[in-house]
Amino acid sequence: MKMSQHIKYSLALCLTLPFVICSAVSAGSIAVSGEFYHTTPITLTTGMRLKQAILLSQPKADAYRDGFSIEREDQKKQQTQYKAFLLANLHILKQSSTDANKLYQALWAMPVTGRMKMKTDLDELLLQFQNNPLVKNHDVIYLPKQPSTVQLYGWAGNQQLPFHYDFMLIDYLKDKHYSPLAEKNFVYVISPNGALHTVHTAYWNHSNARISPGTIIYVPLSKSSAQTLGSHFNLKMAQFLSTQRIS
Amino acid sequence: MKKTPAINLATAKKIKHPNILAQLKNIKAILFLIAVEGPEHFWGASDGTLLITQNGILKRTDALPGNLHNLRYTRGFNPFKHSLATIRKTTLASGTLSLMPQKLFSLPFTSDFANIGNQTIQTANGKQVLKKIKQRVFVPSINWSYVNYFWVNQKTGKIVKSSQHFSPTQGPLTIQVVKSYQAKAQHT
Repeated sequence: MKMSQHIKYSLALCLTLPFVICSAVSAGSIAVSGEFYHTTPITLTTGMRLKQAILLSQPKADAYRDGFSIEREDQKKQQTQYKAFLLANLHILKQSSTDANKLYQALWAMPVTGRMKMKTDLDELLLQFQNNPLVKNHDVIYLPKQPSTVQLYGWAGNQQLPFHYDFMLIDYLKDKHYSPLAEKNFVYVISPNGALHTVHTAYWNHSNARISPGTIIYVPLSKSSAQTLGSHFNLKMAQFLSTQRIS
Repeated sequence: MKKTPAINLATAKKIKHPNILAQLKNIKAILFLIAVEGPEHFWGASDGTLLITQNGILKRTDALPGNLHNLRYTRGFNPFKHSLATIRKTTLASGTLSLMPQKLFSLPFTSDFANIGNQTIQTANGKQVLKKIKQRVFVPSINWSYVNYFWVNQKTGKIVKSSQHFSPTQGPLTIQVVKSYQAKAQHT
């Protein structure tokens, strides 16, 4: 074998060996939390996808699958920025509004989770090949118990309301004390899977929307009141709330 | 040109993988076991239809025109935990169910199970004498009432065939177990 061939083979080996070693060793672990049969951390292997992680951890039969979430470290940076932005704006308002102060306190207590938007639900994930993301080191998968409440935040108070199967969305908002700063025409609705919608609630165009247990309703600040704050305050608030776990 | 095999019991029996034969109105399909999550079995068809069963009872459906989003038994007899073969006299049960796309969540229902005797039916393993269980269900909030039937092997306690409702907009779904899942069976 010529020297040049030796060099070529050695070079090829040097380039491929790290990949061979990488595929053989663990690439970290992911944490499993909530209603799974196996909640010990899963050792990550190269190319592991969410479906595989779920099958390994085995969701409990009574778990609330709508509230499944995957939380990722690299999502936390933006969510932390959102939280800081929201707290800073609420800090301005809380001097003159008790509702702002209450929301400020509630927001302060909320963790930055890193929850990601899922493109598919837990059942569909098992059948589809697309929308099955790779899992990464330090990811957390979480599955809650079936909740029996709906959570209200914003300018009509912050409180847990009991879920009623025969309630429309507007039934939850009846008799609530709206702040003078509140938006009266629509609310943000965050489904347990983190999906965000705006729903009209004014008496002349209210939607007959129904919501599931574990839903978050955010009554936003009116457009005129939000003008003094940073851009997209309400949307950012709703987006931050959508990152919270169902509990 | 290769002829597409007919969807029937004979075709399904030739498949080694655990599978069920399902029929909704005049549409037949063979569904394969695609996952097992604890007590839940996930059966998938090539068109994306997904049926999730627990103890042979339909618990959720996906990708059908109307879907059972969730079914829970909270009081009385729980067929997810106990075999229908144990039913001797009329037994009460109640719980909640959720329906899509209507977005009806956690609707309470009342139900009873009754043993209505033995019946000989054609199964994947030939003719069998099976215990027939009738389940009546009433969902008062939407005034929906329906009747499910289950044919149960008394020796194994397993449901061999059933006719189960999953949506007020659809008829009953007939499910026949052709090859049941054994713990050692290979699955994805």
